[in-house]
Amino acid sequence: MRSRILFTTFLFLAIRENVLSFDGFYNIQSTAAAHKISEKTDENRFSLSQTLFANHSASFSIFNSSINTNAFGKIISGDNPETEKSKSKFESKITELYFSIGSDSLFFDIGKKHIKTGTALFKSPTYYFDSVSGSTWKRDSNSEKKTKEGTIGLKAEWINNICTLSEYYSPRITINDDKKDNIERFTSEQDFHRSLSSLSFRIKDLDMSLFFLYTKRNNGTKFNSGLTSNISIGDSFTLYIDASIADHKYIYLPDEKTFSIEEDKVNNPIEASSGISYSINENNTLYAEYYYNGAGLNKSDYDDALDFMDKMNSFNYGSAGLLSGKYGLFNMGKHYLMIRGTFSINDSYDFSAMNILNLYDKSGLFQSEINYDGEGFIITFMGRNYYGRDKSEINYFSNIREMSAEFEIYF
Amino acid sequence: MKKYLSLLAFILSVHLNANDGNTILKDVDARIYTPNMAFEMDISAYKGNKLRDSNRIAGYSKDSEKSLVLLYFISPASLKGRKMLMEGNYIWMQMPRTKNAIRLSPMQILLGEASNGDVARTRFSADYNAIHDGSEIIESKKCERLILEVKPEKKGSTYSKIILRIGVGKLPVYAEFFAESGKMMKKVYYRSFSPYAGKMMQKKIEIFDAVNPENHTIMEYVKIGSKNLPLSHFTKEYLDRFQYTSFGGQ
Repeated sequence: MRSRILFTTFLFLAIRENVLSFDGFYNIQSTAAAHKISEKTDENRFSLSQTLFANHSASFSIFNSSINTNAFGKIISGDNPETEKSKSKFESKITELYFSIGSDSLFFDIGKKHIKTGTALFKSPTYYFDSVSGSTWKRDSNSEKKTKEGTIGLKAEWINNICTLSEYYSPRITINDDKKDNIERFTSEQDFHRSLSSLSFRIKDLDMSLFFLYTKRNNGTKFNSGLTSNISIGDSFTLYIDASIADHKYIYLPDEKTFSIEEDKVNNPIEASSGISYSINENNTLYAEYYYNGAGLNKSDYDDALDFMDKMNSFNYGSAGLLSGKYGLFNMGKHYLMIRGTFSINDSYDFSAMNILNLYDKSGLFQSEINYDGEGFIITFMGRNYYGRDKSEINYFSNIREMSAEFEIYF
Repeated sequence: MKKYLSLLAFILSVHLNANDGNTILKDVDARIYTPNMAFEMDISAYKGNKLRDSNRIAGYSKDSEKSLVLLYFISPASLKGRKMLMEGNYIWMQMPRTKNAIRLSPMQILLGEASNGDVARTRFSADYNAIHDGSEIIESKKCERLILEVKPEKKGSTYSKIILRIGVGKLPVYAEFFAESGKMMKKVYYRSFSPYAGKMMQKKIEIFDAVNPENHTIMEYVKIGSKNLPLSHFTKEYLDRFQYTSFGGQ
């Protein structure tokens, strides 16, 4: 009884003296989407899906330490536009859960935390810990866009007013098969160790960060070096660059004789994203970003890959999908350009439009959004169209047109 | 000879006016500037008489060579957790859910709520040189008129020029804020003051958009307290760790 009274008194005093504090924000988001499969298939199919998200974000602080959590749960129901199969499932994931402790300048984090190491909007070669780099586009309306999933690790950071030094270590993670269902809500398997060192500093208004990433797998090691930098010029312009060089990277090339895919090693490929933003006024801003992928296919290999995928498609083989799966979207080409504009129509309505273009085969993605910002809620209408000729990168990765409406409540 | 004498007289008068202006400006700061402050303020934006936006923002300011401000959005719920670091033209914003830290151009906040926070925390004498430019009547009050030009070493400040009117007790009454391009951005009325820590605190400020005078904003401090955060907290890297703790202020 006495210990309860003591604990309650401590809690009361801690809150009263602002030693203990809690901060959190929550939102519920409901999305309804209509998808149309492109003309490439024999029939024009439509499908509908609905997703209900609940996002939680909270931090609990006492003295110089805090526990931070980010999590979401979602229920997806409706048709899968790719497979035509009906589905209804509940998914939940803890995207971040970490404990922080620190003094005025030295900090430690342990747990699952999102590590952000770049500024590019479309694609950043220095987002070493992001499954989907960039922040302006997402793969589909069922994906979570509000929260970024973290990785499990330990971070030490020393921040002072001249520079910031940080060291992050993320270990190999193996999960027993019988526990996978439960544990994978928190983390996925990871068959490598990673260690990231970074140094950030500022020269007048120019920000600069340097990175060094070491990855150790069973079958070898890999090194990446990167830098990010940005500056604002005058009242209206900001410029940024994210660049990275790896000691090697693998590309995937089709072998038409054996109908298989071979790995080829590319040494020291450079990747870079460079962008500019121009603010016409407070509410209207234009962005342009160029992405160079040094490990992208050269012209002849690119054409061979498209021919191969076309043949595999016509034979109804799965290898076409395999090749596209190995690359992922916007990775096969060497040069990409993103143009984006965000505009305010009035106090309540915003409009944004974005185009991502593969500069070699001229395929791309166009996406536009209108947002209505009400009292405590936001309604978003989004349209998305992947375009390109039959034999183009986009047509092998995604062939969906999509319209969606989102309703979000914040509290 | 007459020409040289008049030129000398002109130079001397500018010099004397500048000395005079800088002395008045230091007196103004001595009356109103509170270093190392924690605050919460309500910011209400109006179009004509219609309230179009209302925010509560908390923040910390740091007394240093630079004008440093950390801001945290408390409400509305859709903006809660948004954080900003402002140091003149060096502006970073972090979104609460995606944790994306975005570098903003001064134009992107020039008329926004956060920029209004910057207006409220301007320490005039540290960033500007002043010339005393006579007196004038503002809203029936006799005021001294000061022309403030940003110091060469502070060229990155959001406002390159301010015309400030000082009333009774060396308290500001009205100011016009100009961007680097020379365009007038804001007209600011200092409506009321209240005593805090031996100084007079600007309690309520009304800001008119000079481009579109129909748009105006009322800022009112709801809490003021003393807080001296280390310099390392006013960095972009610290933004992710910045957690606002409510305080029992005045």
